[in-house]
Amino acid sequence: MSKLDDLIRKNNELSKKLTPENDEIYTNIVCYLRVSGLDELETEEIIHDILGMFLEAQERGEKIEQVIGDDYQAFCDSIIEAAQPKRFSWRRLFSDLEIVVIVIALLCLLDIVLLYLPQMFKQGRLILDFQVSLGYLINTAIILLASVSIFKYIGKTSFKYSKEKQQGHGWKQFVLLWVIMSCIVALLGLIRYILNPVVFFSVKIYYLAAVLVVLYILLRAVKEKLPVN
Amino acid sequence: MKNPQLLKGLLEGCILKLISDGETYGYELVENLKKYGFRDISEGTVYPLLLRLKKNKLLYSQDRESPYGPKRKYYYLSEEGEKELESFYQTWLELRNVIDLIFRDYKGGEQN
Repeated sequence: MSKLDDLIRKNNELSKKLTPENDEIYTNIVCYLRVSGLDELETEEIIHDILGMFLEAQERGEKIEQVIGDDYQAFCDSIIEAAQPKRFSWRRLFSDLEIVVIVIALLCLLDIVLLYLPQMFKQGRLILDFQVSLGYLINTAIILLASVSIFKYIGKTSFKYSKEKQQGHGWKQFVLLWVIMSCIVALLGLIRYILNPVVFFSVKIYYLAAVLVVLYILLRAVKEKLPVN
Repeated sequence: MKNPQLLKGLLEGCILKLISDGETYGYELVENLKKYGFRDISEGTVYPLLLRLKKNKLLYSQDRESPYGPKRKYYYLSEEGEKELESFYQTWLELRNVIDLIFRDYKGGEQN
């Protein structure tokens, strides 16, 4: 297990000791920091420190406001400023690529289960050729872009959302995200319908799986070797 | 003290000094600073400063068991930290003299 996974697991384990009230503040801080552009290992180390602060404050019977003030976003911003995130880092590039590979693998799997399996049953034979069409490529790009944007958006607005929820406006963001997601899904369906007949080439499914697995292992191995700064 | 920018730099110097007196961890450091008179200080102010000092290699840290929950992070001064502390103190002495001189006749004169 890598140092990063180990630390994330440890943080998850420790965070179970937080009171529900503190857990909500902690979760917002974690969301905000994880999309801040800091190195992911460094982020988890900072989260670990913050968790320590929270748990010790809890032990002393103090409120979180007494420990980090009541402007949690300002606290996070001062941490991010102090940690001076780089505009570009090889480690970040590799962890982004890692996500890309995982998403592509998941999308292929989804296609195989939803499209290829039914056909196999219908035709009563194995289909091992995965067809890479224009529609497939465009959809993959859209899904990647949309998932990264939504992930970042949720992180960046975590404090705002939490406040709105307290004031009873939480449903607004929920509805907004739901509408955006529906539009994206509709768009994906349309693109698939129109552009799927444009097939570029086809690959054997087992080759595709092998390439993705090897790529994933390689990316992770290289990322582990890269220095944090 | 109300001026956050001014406070930051001074606090960093004070943190270096207190850590050079002996290893310490976040909460203890905050309590110490409060005892000396930095009344509005909290871990929320001190932690980002510790992070920055550590990032600039003036401090290093070690995790040690604590009575509750996660390990405590103890901070130590590095060699660069010692140098920085020295230069902070020199700067402070000079600055203090200059400021005292400039403010000597402020609002009707000598206060000490």
